Amino acid sequence: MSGSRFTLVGLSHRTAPVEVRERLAVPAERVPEALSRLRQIPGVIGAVLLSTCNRTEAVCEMADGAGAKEIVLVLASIHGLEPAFLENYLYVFEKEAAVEHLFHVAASLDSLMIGEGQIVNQVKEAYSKAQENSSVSAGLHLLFQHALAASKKVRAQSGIGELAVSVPFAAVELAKKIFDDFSRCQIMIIGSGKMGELATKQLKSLGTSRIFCANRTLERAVTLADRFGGAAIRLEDIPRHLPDTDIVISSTGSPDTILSRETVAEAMRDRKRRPMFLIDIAVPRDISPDTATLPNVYLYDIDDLRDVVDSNRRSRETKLERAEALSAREIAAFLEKVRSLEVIPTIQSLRTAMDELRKVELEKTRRRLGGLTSDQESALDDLTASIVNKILHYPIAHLKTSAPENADLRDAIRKIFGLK
Amino acid sequence: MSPTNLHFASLLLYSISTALALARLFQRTRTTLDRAFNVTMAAAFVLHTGSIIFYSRQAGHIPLTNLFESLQILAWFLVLFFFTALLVTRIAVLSFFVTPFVLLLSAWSFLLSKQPVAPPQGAATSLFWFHILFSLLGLAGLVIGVAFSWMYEIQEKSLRNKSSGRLSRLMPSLQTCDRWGRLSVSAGFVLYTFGILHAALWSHRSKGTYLDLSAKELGSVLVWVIFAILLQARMTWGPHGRSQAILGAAGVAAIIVTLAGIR
Repeated sequence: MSGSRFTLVGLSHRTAPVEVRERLAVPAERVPEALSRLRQIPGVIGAVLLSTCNRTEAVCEMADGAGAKEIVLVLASIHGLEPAFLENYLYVFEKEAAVEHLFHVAASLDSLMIGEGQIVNQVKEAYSKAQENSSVSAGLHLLFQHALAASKKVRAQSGIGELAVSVPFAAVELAKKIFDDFSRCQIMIIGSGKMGELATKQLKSLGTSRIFCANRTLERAVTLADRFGGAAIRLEDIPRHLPDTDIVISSTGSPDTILSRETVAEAMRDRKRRPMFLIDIAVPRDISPDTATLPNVYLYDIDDLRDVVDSNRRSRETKLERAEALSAREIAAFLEKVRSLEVIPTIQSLRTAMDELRKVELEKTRRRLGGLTSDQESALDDLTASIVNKILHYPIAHLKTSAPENADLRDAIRKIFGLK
Repeated sequence: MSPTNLHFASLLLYSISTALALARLFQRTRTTLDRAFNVTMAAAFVLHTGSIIFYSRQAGHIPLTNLFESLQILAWFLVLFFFTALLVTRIAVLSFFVTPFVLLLSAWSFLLSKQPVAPPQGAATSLFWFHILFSLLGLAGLVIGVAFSWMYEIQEKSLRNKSSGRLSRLMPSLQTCDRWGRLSVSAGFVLYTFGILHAALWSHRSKGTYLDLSAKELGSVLVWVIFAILLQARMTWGPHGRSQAILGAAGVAAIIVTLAGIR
């Protein structure tokens, strides 16, 4: 790490709108090419490229003195963009700031949805991809290993990823408390509300494949079913499909009740009381509220879901503070480690120089005294080694501990002891 | 090291494990506690096994012939089932429900701790050994099943009340609790039934009667009836949190009473 620094250049949802982010995003198949071009920049020792829908960032280890401007040029040229176009959106972090930013990203503290778990895998993938392309330097290896370990610790200890803070996410989190194997679950989505669609999309990502889309007009149901790869049904056909349905998401604009207690009770008899989760996001409500009294039926309306979200938001604020404190501690520990690594070459040359000096002087003394027994020689050797260790103790201890100013101290020690 | 010392050491470690299992519910950082719990519980199990092996050597027979021995073996089977369940299901919170029962059995057997005695008359038959072995294996399975039914009840209650407390976040899904609960109770029930059938046959051979209506035998039948109702209700009406949890609690109480009836 001596003689090099970390530099991070990129843009994210915080600095650039989606139109810009998608123009700079690097598809997986073009990552090797981008990494190779980054490596060709004079002064770049290693590079990792992180490209997700919310950010594109190049993390490089660079030789001291090399500028970050070249990285901007490479990022722009990959997509044939003008560097000037990116100027307003890009950020450049150097040294500690770069480390701090990467740690925050990996711990999902910089995510659009703070605490989401996907970013950890994306950082891991970016790191693996760079390893496959032999573009990870020793410093970057250390940085990513620590950032990923810290991310795991921050997320586990703060619980930041446990809480859903949007209605569709809350619905999915609740579904996870009822079902464990979503590939066997059947979903029925009634109506075509946005939140209902989002919740269905989330459930689909958990493995659900059997989806029924019900709507007053069959055309709309077909459109929705095509989007989710499901089957379209009319509202009148709901009772026929209900016994096989595990999760119902209703969000119609209907002023009347779509699902009555009787309809659900009948379905529950047929499904031998296997649990059914009803999510009613509509206002006015689509599902009769007294349905909630049926055994093994779990009905959540929009207010219930908002309560879950509000309570999660409150808890999340405390968790966020905890996560940030934990992250700061991890960053400080990493920087300390890096600084201690920087002084290792100085410590090694100091020890070697002093030991050589000791051996030369010891040899002179031996020749002068002559005829020493092996015990006497050994005692003399121990004595000189002990004196050298005692002399070096404070300089080495200071080099290790006084990290912030150790560059000056390192130079001073090199001068004082005449090290090369 | 004597079996009593090993037994005491394992009891001590089971106490620490129980405290750790409880602390896991309140601690934010569970990884360290999880590790500490697993190590302590595994160490307790090793010492427990050692104590049983040493005792068997001294006694010259499998320690299944009196209450002290049966409690020791039941606790051992329970820990074995618990570790198996933990390995298969990865549900760490199971420890909160199982370890207190293990501690109870272990402490109870320690209080009864005594020098090895000869097995009762008529115990030399394979029917007797199968009766004890199947019964204890069955009871261990039933207790694990009850733990899952309690977890189901906690999770269901939180879903019904629309509250998401710390405890509910630790619980697995209703489907998971129901599946593993049903499997454990079914397996435990089959083994326990075998145990009772072997007991009846052994009793007929040694005493000339299938059932002598002693408190212990009536207790065993009561345990069987309670779990038969629990299984029947689950098969007929599907999962039913509260009644299943209550029946499970009654079953565990009946198990304790029945064990107390063993001489």
